[in-house]
Amino acid sequence: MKIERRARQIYRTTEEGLKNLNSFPEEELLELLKRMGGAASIKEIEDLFGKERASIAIAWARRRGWVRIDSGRIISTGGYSMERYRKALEKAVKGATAEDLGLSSEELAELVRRRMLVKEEAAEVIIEILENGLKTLEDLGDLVIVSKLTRDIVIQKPRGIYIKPYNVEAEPARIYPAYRHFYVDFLEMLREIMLSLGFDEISDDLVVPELWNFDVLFQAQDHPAREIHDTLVVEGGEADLGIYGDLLERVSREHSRGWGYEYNRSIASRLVMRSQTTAATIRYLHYHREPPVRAFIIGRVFRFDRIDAKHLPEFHQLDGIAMEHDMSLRKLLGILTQVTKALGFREVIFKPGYFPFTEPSVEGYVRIGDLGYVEIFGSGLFRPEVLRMAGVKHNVAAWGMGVDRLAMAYLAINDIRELYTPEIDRLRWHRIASYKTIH
Amino acid sequence: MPVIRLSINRLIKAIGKEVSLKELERLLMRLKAEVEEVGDNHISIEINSDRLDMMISEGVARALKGLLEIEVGMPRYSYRDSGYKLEVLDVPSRPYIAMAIVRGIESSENYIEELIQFQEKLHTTIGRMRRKVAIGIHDLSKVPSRECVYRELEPSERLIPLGYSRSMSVAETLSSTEQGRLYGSISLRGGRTPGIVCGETIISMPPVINSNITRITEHTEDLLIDVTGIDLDAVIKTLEILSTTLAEGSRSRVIERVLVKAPWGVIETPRGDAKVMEIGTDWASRILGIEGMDPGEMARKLLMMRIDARVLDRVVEATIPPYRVDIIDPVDLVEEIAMAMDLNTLEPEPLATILPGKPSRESVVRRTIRDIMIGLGFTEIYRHVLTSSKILTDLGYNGFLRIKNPVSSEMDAARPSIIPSLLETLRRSQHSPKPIKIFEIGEIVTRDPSIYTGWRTRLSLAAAILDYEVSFEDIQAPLFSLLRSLGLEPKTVQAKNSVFIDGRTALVVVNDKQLGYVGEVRIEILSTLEIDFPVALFEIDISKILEILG
Repeated sequence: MKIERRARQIYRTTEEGLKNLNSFPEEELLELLKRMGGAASIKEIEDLFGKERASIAIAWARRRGWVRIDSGRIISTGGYSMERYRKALEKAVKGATAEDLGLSSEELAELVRRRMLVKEEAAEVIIEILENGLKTLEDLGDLVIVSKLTRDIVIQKPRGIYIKPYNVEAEPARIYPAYRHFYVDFLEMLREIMLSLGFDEISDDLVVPELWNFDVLFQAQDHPAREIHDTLVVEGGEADLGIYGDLLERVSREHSRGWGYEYNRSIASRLVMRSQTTAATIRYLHYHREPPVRAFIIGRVFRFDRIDAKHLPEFHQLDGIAMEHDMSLRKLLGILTQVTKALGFREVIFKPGYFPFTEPSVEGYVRIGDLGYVEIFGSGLFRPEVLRMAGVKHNVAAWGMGVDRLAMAYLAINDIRELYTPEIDRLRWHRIASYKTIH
Repeated sequence: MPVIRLSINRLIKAIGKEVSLKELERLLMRLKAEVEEVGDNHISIEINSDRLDMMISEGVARALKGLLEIEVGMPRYSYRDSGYKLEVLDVPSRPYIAMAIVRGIESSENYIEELIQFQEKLHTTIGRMRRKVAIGIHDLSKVPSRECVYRELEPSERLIPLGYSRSMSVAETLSSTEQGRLYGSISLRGGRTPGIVCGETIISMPPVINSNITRITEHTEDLLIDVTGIDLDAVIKTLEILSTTLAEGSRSRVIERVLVKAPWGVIETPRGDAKVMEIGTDWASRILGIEGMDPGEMARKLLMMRIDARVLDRVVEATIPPYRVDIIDPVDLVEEIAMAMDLNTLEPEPLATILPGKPSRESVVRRTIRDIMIGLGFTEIYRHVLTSSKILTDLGYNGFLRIKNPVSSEMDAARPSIIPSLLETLRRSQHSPKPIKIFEIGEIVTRDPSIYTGWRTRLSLAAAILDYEVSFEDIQAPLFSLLRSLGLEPKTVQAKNSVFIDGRTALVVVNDKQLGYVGEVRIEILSTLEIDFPVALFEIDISKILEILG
């Protein structure tokens, strides 16, 4: 045999190209304008075409000089059929060379740029059976030529078969494994750390009355954090706090004494999307009043935050509490040091802070790569007012941390929206291996 | 958190000692504050919102002098009668007012800048955007009379608003000045709004604007401060902070009281009363975690925080200056001691080792299901609970939770199912290599009158396949495989559902409990969502699986 390989470039129609086999968007636009009397508003076109296709249609029609835009209206100035382009796309469905397509190099470039065609390298193999070969074929006679092994062949083990060789050096079809989500993996890692430090996991509802989200945490009823530009409020309906009569008595007493106003129970029953996971830990404490208590939650929280690279109205927090007979500030610092070490940071720096529900309050800072010192914890001992409201007689250490920001530092992501991406290709791209060393 | 911009010269002068930037940063950190930016002549500092007394150089320096032990204990100011009188009439929209006089200030361009900033920071914090409390500061020498009245102004009365050169009616001030448009509606009552009138002249229109007549300049020597509001306690506290902090920077350190005669009482303001509180030394030691801390040492730390302290038997008696309105309970004093000690010198006490914690049942089942789904070749996705009410309506859902104040129409509802999240992901990813097999395990929120909030958070699993061709069995097979792996025996029963094609929809049933639905998605839904490929999916309620597993 004589085998000759020739490399050549072919063009193949993409999925985008397949969509345009019948008509190009700009042709559809022209047809539409004709039916609408020669002009239409951009809005009308967007309604009919969908935003994305409308903008492509208008852009290309303008480029071809088929339309002009006058104060938001698209006015047709006449065009031509793109049949030649469409014919070329049809030819390229199974792959074709530039010559086969019959387009000028500019026209070809346009279809590639519009992602309707892709250029591929193809190998043309010419096999010529030479004289000797023909003779051998004759000699082989009844020999069975096998290309794919089957169960029958394996069982029968026939004599005289010829298993055709494969081109084992060719590129195979591309397949992808199923991936675990990288952010869920990160949340699982945090969960493991907390469990290993002896904390029990809590889960709780996302919709809560302000009683748990604010009141029991000693946040004044006129505190700005409760307003609609900070907390997401549930439309209609309020909680029935009938089961929490005793608790409400205690909350009412502490608020009147501490903040000097008349406590308003209708504010307490207003439903909000949980804005801090402390709402869940304090509720747990209300039901678990005897030491030792060590509990944590990793959960979603909601705030009225603009949507950009650093903010989302929905994100995650980790909150932990620890109650012992002799919980102290130094023990709180001990917990924070352990958690920080378990997360892989060498050093943590403490700074006094302010939170409505803790006293003393401590903020924890760690060094993250180029970012320098970054606040990682808010923490403290629950205020006596909070303990009395929850019906607890021992000191309780509490801390909370923003999980999304930490994940971003770990995973070297600089846009928070990436954590919740709807693009499968992005998920295929992330690996656990992309975890960055952060110190 | 409020950020204040201070003149470095004024700050250093107020401290009375050169302090290096590094030292300043370290000291401020111990006062919950943080240096944000340093310029040639200015420094920006983030102050914690509980330290309202530190929103100006004088207040920051007062606290720093304690930590540096230049001046310790409670600062002293002398109080005397000013001879000024304020008569308060009935002002229903903003009943409360108090006044003070501070003499001998050292005004300058920088001083005025910081003074205005101090006022604005108090407005945005304790003042709740001037609604609860508003402040006016005047040049005392320009106040036309020692007899002032606080009353409602008629719309036709006239004044020259601050920053203007011509006289305007009250109505015009409300409608045409920027301050009027921003704050004019707060205390408006039938066209009338509160005003302070001294002699015949309006000097202020709280909470909106002052009159130009009493404007502060670089030549101002003495200040008249007014504070008005809807909460007497907050009004008094604000005046205590302002009068003591401004007197701190004055030559005389004298505060003069004003006699206020009001329907709600006759008082002389400001009081300048110090609060006395006792802390048990054993109790404080326990909270700090320092066994047997010396009471004398505790007292010394409080003195550094500008709080007077003396040791009695097993008790430290603390006298707290009137501007520390943030201290309301003895535990606040324990924090002061910790701050004076510097948290980083306190050795963290390690926790005793104990057994590992228990994961929640949800987590355990969630992890198991996650592993099985990945083994079945499905890629995990993770999306928001918040979604758009439009997509939910398009899919035929109703009675779901709506947000009253959504940030965007894309996130104005809580999902009652994971299906919308899956379909949105498929729409965005439909041009990726096929087959696309995805799943999500996550929270959903559904109406449930049996719990006290009316809304129950449930854990749900949904999985979908998108390909050039997809059939019912393609999704039914992995569903059955999953449930059998969990030790459950599933059945599918013919059903109808708004998401799935009639005749290709089934209820998923285990032990007579309905877990969810499986089927092929309706073509109308695919085309509404602009998905160009067939999709088959299932959703099951993990909370119900937990009930079955017991």
